[in-house]
Amino acid sequence: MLNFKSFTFIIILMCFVANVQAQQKDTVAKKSPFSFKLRLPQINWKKTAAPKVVSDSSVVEETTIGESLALASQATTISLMTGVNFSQQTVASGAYNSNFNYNIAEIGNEAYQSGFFGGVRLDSRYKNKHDYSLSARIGKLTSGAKYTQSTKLPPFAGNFSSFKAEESFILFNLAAHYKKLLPIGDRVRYQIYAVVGPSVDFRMSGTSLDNQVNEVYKKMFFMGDIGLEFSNRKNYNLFFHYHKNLGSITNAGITTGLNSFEIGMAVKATDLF
Amino acid sequence: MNKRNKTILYVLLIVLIVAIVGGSCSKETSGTKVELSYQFLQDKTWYLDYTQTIVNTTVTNRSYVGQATYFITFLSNKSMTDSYGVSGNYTIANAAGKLNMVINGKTNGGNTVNYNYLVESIGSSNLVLSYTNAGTMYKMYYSAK
Repeated sequence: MLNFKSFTFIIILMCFVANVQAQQKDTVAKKSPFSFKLRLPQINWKKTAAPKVVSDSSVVEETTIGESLALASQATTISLMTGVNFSQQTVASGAYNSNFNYNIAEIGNEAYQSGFFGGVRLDSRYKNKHDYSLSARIGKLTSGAKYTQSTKLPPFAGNFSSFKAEESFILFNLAAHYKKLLPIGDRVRYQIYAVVGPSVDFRMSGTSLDNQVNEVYKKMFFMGDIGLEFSNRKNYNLFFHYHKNLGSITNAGITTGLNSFEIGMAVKATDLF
Repeated sequence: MNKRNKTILYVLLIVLIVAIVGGSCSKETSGTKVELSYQFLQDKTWYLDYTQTIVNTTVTNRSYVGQATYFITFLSNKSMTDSYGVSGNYTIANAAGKLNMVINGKTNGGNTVNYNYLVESIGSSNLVLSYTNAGTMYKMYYSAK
């Protein structure tokens, strides 16, 4: 049921993006207050676009997706992106009580575990001055867990936790990043940006039986992102981002931090299609 | 897309976000608690390592580590046997947030024995059971080998 909801959610989000773009196209002439904020490309998701009248005759010309993307890319770049991430959770569960005990020596793993992601990204410029990017992606995150607090179960030896951190999630992420061009290297040939901004993760996957007992993991959590990006004439971007959650990703008195490094590549959509 | 369809789209989007985010609010966890307890308990032999006898605030500890000790085996078909020769079945129930284990067995001689324990803590290799009799609390610490 959750998978069906998640799938429907993604489909509707895609429709939403297409709708915003269509709306902007309609309102350019009306000088909508939103028209200057998001310089979204005018993409025709259907194979054919609205009729375009050729000057010397009344012949109607059709525009393909590729042509639309090429026109739009003058101001905005739409890219497909993919990459790997390395994540770790930091768990402070000293205030949490349950009937279950987990030996930290058995479940603790401080290593950053690898995952992967893929999605769509839009790069543009606000008021011809401020660079930004918007992205939507889905990915699998696998993480190690570092337990900073423990409880005792005397006379048993060892450190125990009443909570076991989830090892993997499927997350849908929406991000908005501000990009600052750094004065490094030959900026005509390539650009290096420092990026910063918020993102929000929606947990699409369920949890293990251990965490279904009290449903401690939140369904949605906010992250703060910071990173560096290398852009080669906007044909492709190589990026390195660090994500840190804002607040905890768990409830019930458990404070869980999620740290994630990611390395990825975004390739201009018009180069792929 | 006309205005009406847009409105429907926005409403659907908001409803879906609320459904996904708030989906966990009404989860039934009682059955999950019992299911997880069975998962930890079954198909293992549990050895009694320590006992505690608690009278008021006086605690008497006893260790059986390194000695021939009592053990009990719980199987996934809900049957059990122990080192005293008792065999029977066991069930775990969640009552008012507390986990109870009930063992109904028979000795080699055919006598019926019933045990009723409170599950204080359970894990993949550590189990703490307790019961109270005539004002004295008995705690038993088992480890799975």
